Amino acid sequence: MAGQALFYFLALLTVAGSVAVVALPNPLYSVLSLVAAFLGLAGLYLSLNAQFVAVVQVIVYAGAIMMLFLFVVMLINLGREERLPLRLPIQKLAGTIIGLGIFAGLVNLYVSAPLLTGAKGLFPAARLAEVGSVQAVGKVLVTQYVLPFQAMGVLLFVGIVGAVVLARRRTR
Amino acid sequence: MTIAFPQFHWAYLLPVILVVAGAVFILLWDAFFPQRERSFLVTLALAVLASALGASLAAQPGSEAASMGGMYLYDGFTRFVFALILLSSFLSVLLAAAQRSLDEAPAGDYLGLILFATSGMMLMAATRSLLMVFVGLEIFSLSLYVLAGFLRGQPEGNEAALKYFLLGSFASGFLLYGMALIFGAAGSVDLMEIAQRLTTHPPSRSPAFLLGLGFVVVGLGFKVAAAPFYMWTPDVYEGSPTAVTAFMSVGPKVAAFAAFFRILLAVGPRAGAELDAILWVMAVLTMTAGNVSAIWQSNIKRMLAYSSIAHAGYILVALAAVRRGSDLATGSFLFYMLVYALMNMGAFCVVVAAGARGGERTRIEDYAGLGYTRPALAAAMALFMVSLAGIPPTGGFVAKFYLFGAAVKAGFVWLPVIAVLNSVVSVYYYLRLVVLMYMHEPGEAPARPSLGPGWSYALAALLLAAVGVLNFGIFPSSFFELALRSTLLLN
Repeated sequence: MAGQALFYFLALLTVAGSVAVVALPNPLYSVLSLVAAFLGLAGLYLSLNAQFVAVVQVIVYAGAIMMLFLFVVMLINLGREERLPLRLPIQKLAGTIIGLGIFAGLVNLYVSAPLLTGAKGLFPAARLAEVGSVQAVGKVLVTQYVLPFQAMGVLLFVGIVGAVVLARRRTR
Repeated sequence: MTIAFPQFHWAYLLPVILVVAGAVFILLWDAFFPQRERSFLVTLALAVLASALGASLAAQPGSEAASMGGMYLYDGFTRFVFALILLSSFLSVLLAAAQRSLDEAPAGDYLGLILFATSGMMLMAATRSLLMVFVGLEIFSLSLYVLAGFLRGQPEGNEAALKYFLLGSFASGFLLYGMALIFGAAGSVDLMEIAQRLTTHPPSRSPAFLLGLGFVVVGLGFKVAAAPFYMWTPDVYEGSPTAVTAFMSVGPKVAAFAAFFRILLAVGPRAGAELDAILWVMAVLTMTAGNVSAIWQSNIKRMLAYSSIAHAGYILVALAAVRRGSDLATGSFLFYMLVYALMNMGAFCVVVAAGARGGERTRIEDYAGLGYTRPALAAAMALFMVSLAGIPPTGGFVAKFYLFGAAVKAGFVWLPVIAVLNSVVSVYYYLRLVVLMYMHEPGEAPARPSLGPGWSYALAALLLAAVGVLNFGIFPSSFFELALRSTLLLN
């Protein structure tokens, strides 16, 4: 019962946060609502036994990336939302239809159409309890996925080098 | 808890490790000894690439057991593609050393980034795991975004870098979303396991899988500049430093086509009808859009950009034939990319070599009368243009001949016909340049441009490309057989 109440609270937080991102007029509030939505998502992950994903969600998304968003919003000093005029009159209608279509497709995927394997999902609760912990993720990271893990190191290094190269002013 | 660490097979990993270590070393050396001569760093980069090439040729294709669970496949195909990627970055390093506008730029930075990009391309081509495909792709994409805007004083360079970065990130998003959908539907990122799932569960029953496959095609289509995802190409190729443009027009295409090839082999037999239609339409649109747009260009880098789009279209013809399980098509696909790499980089090399310190000759009219002012350079350019157009006795002709022949043998009728008609159209704009060089008076051209200290690098690159193009045109069989033998796969 308590678990169910927690789920509904977290789900409400996530959905309300996402709606507020689009609906609120001040970009700063939008960013903060997105943080709330991410925290709700992290809670949902945690209740599903996916500890690692939950922690990463908070640290990377709610922490690092949203901080970057805040910096950008504050640096360009947006007080009020600026609406660009829509170029085509049907843009709004087409966007609504496509959005609803994708939503219906996702619901349909969940309700009826099976995945290739016939299962409804790859990670039922029992399996998640097995693979969701930080320990389990850490284990596959240095065994099965050691090569992508190392390659990610190269990728991050390239990112740093690229940022330094573009940011500094030096000519020989 | 006991953890079974996977077995590393150093002989197979050595080429990639050499390139990454070389990149790090060059960056550090340049940071600690910034006053040293640039030629040392260039020589070092060339040595690293050459030794990586030697290491990959020395390693005999390995077995399944050595593939680290499919993360790193060292098969005949990988070996050929490694050689191709290393060759193209070797030529790019030579071009970067020869390009005057890069004289003032910090050499360690761009050489290091070229090497990093090379390692990403190698990782992307040598794997069966969608995860590694994505990581490899991001490594080389990030390096190329920075290289595109390397000359920060130039507004065109900044435009190119920003455009490439924004659109490229968007395409990466598509690719990743597609991979996630495929993982969700098939339960694995390993192409062999996905193929096994597909044999028992036909993909037509899973909309999620088909949507994911479509998104992956979009993401890879962007990287190879296939229609309708090619709009960024001319602007980015025009704005980037020419040596980088040359690299961009070959390396990423080879790597992305290699990954595309492995994905097609895995899912192709089961998703035949859908993929056949997609590949057919993409190939026709790509070569037609490239060739028709190239006719109207007045900037040589934009013309070569559209020409590289057209060539991506021809390679897609080969992929459509590969989809139908033709080994001949695989061989001609590899051979075509080899010849394309040499002739395309050769053409860019002439653009670099014709440039002067003040600026590059990028307008096509700038080449009027080059046959009289710089006869050797004009002869080389004529050779590459004739080869790109596919006229004997050059490698371009032989490569096209094998490729279209393989498509016919795979049962396509209209696709090779349209491809041949497209080649006829392309003759117009390739030969227009030759006519300009030999049959027009030099305009108020600048005095004999001086190549500067990098002339020996340009000469080496030109010789390598020209000899290769001629050799593949006159004695193609041994290399074609090598390509055919490289179709042995670990999938």
